Amino acid sequence: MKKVLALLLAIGLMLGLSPALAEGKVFSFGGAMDDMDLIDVHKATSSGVLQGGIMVCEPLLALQPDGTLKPQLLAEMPTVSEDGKVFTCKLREDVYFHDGTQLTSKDVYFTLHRIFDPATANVNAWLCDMILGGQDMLDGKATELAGVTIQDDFNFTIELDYPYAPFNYILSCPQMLIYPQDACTAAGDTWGIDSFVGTGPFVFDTFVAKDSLHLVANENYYEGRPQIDEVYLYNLDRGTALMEFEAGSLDLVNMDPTYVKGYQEGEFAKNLVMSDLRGIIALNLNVAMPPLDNVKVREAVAHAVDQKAIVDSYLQGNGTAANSLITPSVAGYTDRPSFYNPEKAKALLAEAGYPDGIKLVNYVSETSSIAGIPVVLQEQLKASGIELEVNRVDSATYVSMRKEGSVQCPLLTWYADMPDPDNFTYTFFQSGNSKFFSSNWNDSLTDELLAKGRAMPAGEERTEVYKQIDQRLVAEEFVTVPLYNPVTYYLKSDKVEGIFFDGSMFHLDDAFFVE
Amino acid sequence: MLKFTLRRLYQTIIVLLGVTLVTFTMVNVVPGDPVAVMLQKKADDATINRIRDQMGLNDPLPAQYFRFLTNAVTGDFGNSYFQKKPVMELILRAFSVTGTLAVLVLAFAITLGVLMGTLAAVFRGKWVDRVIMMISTLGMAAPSFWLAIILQLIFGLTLKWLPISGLRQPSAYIMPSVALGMIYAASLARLTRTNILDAMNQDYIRTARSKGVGEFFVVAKHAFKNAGIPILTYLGTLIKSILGGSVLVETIFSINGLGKLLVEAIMKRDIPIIQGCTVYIAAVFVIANLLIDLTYGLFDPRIRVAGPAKR
Repeated sequence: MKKVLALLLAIGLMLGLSPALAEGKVFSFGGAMDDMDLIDVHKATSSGVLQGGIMVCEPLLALQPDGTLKPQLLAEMPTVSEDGKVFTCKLREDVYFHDGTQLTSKDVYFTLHRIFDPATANVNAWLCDMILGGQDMLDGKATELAGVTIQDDFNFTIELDYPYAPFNYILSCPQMLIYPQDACTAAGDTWGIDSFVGTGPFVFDTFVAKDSLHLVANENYYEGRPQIDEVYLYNLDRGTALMEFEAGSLDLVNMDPTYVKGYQEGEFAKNLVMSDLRGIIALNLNVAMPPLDNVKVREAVAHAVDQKAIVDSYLQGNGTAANSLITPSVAGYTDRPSFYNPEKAKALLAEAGYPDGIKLVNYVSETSSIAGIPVVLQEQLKASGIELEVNRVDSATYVSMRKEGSVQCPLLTWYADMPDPDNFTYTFFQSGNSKFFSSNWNDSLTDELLAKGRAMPAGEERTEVYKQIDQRLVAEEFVTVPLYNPVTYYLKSDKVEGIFFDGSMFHLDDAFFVE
Repeated sequence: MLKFTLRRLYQTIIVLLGVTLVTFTMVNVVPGDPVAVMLQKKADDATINRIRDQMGLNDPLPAQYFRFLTNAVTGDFGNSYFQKKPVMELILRAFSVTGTLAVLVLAFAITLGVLMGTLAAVFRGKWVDRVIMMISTLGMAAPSFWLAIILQLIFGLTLKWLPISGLRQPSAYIMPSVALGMIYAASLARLTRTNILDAMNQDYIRTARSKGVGEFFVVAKHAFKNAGIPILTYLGTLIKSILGGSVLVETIFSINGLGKLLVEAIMKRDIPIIQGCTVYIAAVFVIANLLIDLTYGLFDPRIRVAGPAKR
């Protein structure tokens, strides 16, 4: 009998039926991160990749909870030349990579050079292509990065092609993490897959693409060892991740707003945290595709959309109705009332020569988290005599159509890389960029204002420029119809405190387990 | 037999060549540019073209196909555009998951299905038969993804007996195997019952009984062996389905199997993975069919594999 019991116990243990005894302070984070193919931030744009990257590597500057910047790998904030083009930087001298090599200026040069090296096939180079010589490298006209000059091991300068006021914000983006030259070069194609070395609070241990990332505490972290011993990042189905949280297997879960209602009351209501996403969801109107080439028609569409109804009914209050392209927490935001007025929309259509209404065609990616929005718009626009045909296609087809500039009224989904108005405007509506987002807006006045805003230092004058840009795009030319500013929700375990969510990434540097 | 096997292998090569050509044509005809997917946030035409050049996507299509074919012969399907790893390595890794799961699903389906079907046949018309048939009807009607969620809720979340997701410990294989295998077990139970009942009405069963053979041996040795051919045919279909992967169940349990690998590759137009997986799945189908044909003879010596009739 004893033998039978022992055998059963052994089988039970082997199958893992006994409750797992977690030793140490192990933090588990789960969510839908299907694009977690690798964690090299130069080769992917998805949040799963960037989230993994920022826990191991660090940028030169860091965003703080109040939206301001602080030096991270730099000893002090960069000094900027009078013409706004040269940023003089000094590195901290006490920073070491996880492999024991000291961070020096050559690593910064290596990283910036790697960003523009065509061999890297960097997908985020656009973010910093104002660095002098960067575009030449991308175009194959240069092999060295002219804009970065090393003075010594800890001092260097970055020169820009043109003055770019928010460049410090660029230096804080997760796409700008600093890599160690020796380790990255030695790893070759396995960088970000089998090997990943940084200066950050956590050390890379194992990575299984699309599945999990395991990190351990950096014992020698220059800002003090993190209080968490290990971090697991899991890519899970959305529903499964919530179940894992309820079962106590996860400490943090990024959730889809469609699941929120079930958690606003009950056992886990206290764990539900809402946060601003620093983004905008808008309806772009393609000025190259009739009848949207007529400003009166675009104005009519703007008057046919009821942003408040979208937020109240479809989003169940999870968001803020918007009528400015720039999000409220960012300079340049305009608190403008909604244009919603179906009767005026009809009158505008008649004035434009369409008394019987118009038909528009929308395409949306079937995997998009906002794929339901066009259906809501379909109902709203109908009341103003605008028929909206909605087509759901797979994401690859959608992106290809959109970049060809051939989607008549695509949804613009933007979660900003940094809290600067340039990131909300230049990215989509500068002549060189507008085709990629299917607005095809090529306007010399807009371009002039965008260039002016980029070069100006932060302050009231710059804010005014971005208000003018917003006014032109949203309220004069009606190139885009802002819909709402999205929010995100996550579930956080009672056991953990000190997590900082910056609007796109979670930071665990100061996180700790409550005793 | 050798001649037959060689002929089927020759046919296999032709089929695989056809599959590669059709797949290559399809992925290049349907809209969707992998580079545009990569550069979701922002890219101008020059950037897209530069990266397409680096990836060889701007080469003429025949040249791309020939390159793919010559590399594929050596087992090299190229690197994934997104995961940056050799496709063969990714397929083998996914196959190790799907293959293990397939073995467990098969074991579960055969054990439960054949046992339930045999019991239902033996106790035909009695309450055992009725209960088993009711269970099998439910098993066939329940979609595997629904069953997966129900199992997660009961055995993972409520009872906490089994891990909710992943395959990080042996017990984690139980729920996906049951979720995937239930429909096959249910079908197998009905098939087994029907075929055993057919066999039980045959003369040789009556002869065996009249010779005094016990009921257990009558069923196990005589009836079951003769009822085996249709079951074997069904198992062949089952193996092919399971080895193709199941994207829904894999997604729910966060398992990185072949189904998920292929579907995600299609969504992103990761052409090397699409081509590699398609060739793999085609090969599995053809080889499984070949093995089933060869196995028939073991169950029924009357079945002989022969070439075309000579005139």
